[in-house]
Amino acid sequence: MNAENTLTIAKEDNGKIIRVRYGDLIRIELEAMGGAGYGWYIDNLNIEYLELLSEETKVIAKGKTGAPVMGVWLLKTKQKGSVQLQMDHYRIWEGKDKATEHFSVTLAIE
Amino acid sequence: MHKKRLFAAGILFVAVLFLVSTMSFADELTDIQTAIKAKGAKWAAGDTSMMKLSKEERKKRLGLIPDLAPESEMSVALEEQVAVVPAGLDWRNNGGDFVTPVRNQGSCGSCWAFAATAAAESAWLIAQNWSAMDLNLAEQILVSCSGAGDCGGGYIGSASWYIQNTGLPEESCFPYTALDSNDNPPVTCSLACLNWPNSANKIDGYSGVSATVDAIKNALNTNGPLVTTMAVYNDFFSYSGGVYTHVTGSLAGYHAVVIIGYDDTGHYFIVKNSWGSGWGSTAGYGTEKGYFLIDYSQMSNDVSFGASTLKYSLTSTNSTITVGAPNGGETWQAGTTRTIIWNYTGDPGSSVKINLYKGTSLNRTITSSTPVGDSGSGSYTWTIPSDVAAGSDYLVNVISTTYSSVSDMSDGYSTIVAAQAFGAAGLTTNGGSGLSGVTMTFSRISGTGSIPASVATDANGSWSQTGFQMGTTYRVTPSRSGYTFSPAYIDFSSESTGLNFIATPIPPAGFIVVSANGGENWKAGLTYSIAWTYTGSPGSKVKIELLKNGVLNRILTSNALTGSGGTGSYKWKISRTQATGNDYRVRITSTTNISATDTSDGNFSVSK
Repeated sequence: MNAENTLTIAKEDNGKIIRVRYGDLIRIELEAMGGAGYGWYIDNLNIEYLELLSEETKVIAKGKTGAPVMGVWLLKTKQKGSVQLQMDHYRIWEGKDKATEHFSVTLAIE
Repeated sequence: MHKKRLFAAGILFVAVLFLVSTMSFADELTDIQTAIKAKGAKWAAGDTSMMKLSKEERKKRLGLIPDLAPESEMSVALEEQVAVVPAGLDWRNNGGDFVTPVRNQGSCGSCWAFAATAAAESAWLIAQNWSAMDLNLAEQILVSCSGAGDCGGGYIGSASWYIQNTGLPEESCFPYTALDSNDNPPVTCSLACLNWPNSANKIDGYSGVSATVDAIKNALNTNGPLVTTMAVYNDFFSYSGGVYTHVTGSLAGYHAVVIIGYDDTGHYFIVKNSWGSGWGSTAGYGTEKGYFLIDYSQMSNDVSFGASTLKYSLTSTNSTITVGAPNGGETWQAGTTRTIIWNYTGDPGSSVKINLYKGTSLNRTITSSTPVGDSGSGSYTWTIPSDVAAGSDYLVNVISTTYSSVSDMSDGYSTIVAAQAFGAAGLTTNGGSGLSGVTMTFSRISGTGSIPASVATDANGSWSQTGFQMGTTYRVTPSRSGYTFSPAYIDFSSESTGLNFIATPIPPAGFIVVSANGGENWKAGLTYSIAWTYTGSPGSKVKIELLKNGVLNRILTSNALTGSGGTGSYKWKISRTQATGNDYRVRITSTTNISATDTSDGNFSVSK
């Protein structure tokens, strides 16, 4: 993996159109309230364009009970074109309809 | 007993890379269930029917090694107890139900506040021997006022310290919002009800419990439900019953919960969560979900269950308080004044708080502090507010404000009936005759009774209204355009007739010029007083014009004060260049009512 080809996307990129190159790696970082039962879930990943390589969890608030954790998803672009990546923050037993946050970016793969 | 550092610092970064399995959530659920079976676990993963990743998107996961529990802010004295304890305990069924309903923290990271509050609620119920009472204390106080944390996480030790030293009011004082002072708009402590610390519920103390099964069991038996922490993994989200053991999934965060019991036969703790009653299971008692069972083994693996555990205490004293009245069977009427009576022994402190319960729910705090009394007895005179709903299930609770555990509740239910209604009537006259069309408006001076609608006097000047409530003092105020009334209003608090008013017509607004009103000879360069009288309400300002031979010569002022007491004046310094003449007059006009005007009756002179 070449770190120079990894693009990091975070909460502030929500709603943006982001240009990436075919073969690039995309790293998504979003805070999740896991201690409250919430998680981020990818909504119908388009596997023609993107391949999910891994998920990672970071503890970002030392010592605090209930603090959010940072979820990190690593994806690889597989095909040129435009694809939307949608994620939702909800409790799995309550369902996406009760999501408290939504995250979406459009990836223009060149 | 010995002391040791209970809470160790957690590692900043816990990261586990895991491959993503090629499955839908349904498949993931199957995967969890497979892992449960493969590892011989004894819990069930529920089908939420929610999709996570599509079948092709997921690859296999690697394991996750979490570090220590996150609570690290303080050392707490540990009490190593050696005691014989029963093989099982559930505080929901231990001579009563001393666990309050499952709450829901929402998407705010306030588990630390919910766990501490729930344990405090149970400590209170146990100390008072109140079974199945929904004592609902305000978690928002901890989130917005305590400094122990916020929606981004917090500390159970600091929260417990705050409950001991400041306490928590009832939920109604500061309803939970799942927001904190960092949100927009901010939910700050200033939004809590006024003077809430005066009626806050405290614990007497708290201390740490060693992270062993025996120590936790001992503390559960001795103190009641315990606050504790654990690491949450994704498989825990799907828990729907049985005895949880971590079998798969990545770390989702650190969490605080309340241990309410255990079972040696099943080798598990019974735990109350704060994710609402739509999650989890009943954990073997009642119908309310929101609980889980967790195997003892999860204390010593990556779940780190029980790593940071606190027990609460409400120290009992030799003092007692016993409610004498109402103690069951009484019928009191809203709007009337009654005496609440209690007896006490020992020294319960100098004052008590009195609460009114309706059924199992707090209705209101009657007083947050009143003297405990003398020579073993005390009383409080209570005017029952008119807005107390009628009901036959009221209880009065008298609590020492010094020792939270010293209190008593009425032995049985008493009845409060609706406030007695009464009427009021009167007459409005003008020159001895009734005056119709006068609007009688009612307002509340004291008390909480409802306010009847306004009424108008009839052709005879009479008015009447009903629906006033005993215990409330009302005011009736008459009004009709063009009239003043004497008295301006009358207060009343019981059945009343003869609430009479005398109306006086307000004269029409008008002016009469007093000087110069004709015949004066004023010298240019000197100052003279233009004076007038007025009637009615011509407004606060007047315009004064100088006329010469009936034609406007100049405006002397556009905003002179009208005056007071029916008279006004204006100092006019006549310009040395003012043309001489014997045909001048002045005109006074209201600036707000041009019909209120007057002009000098005759001409006056201006000379050199």
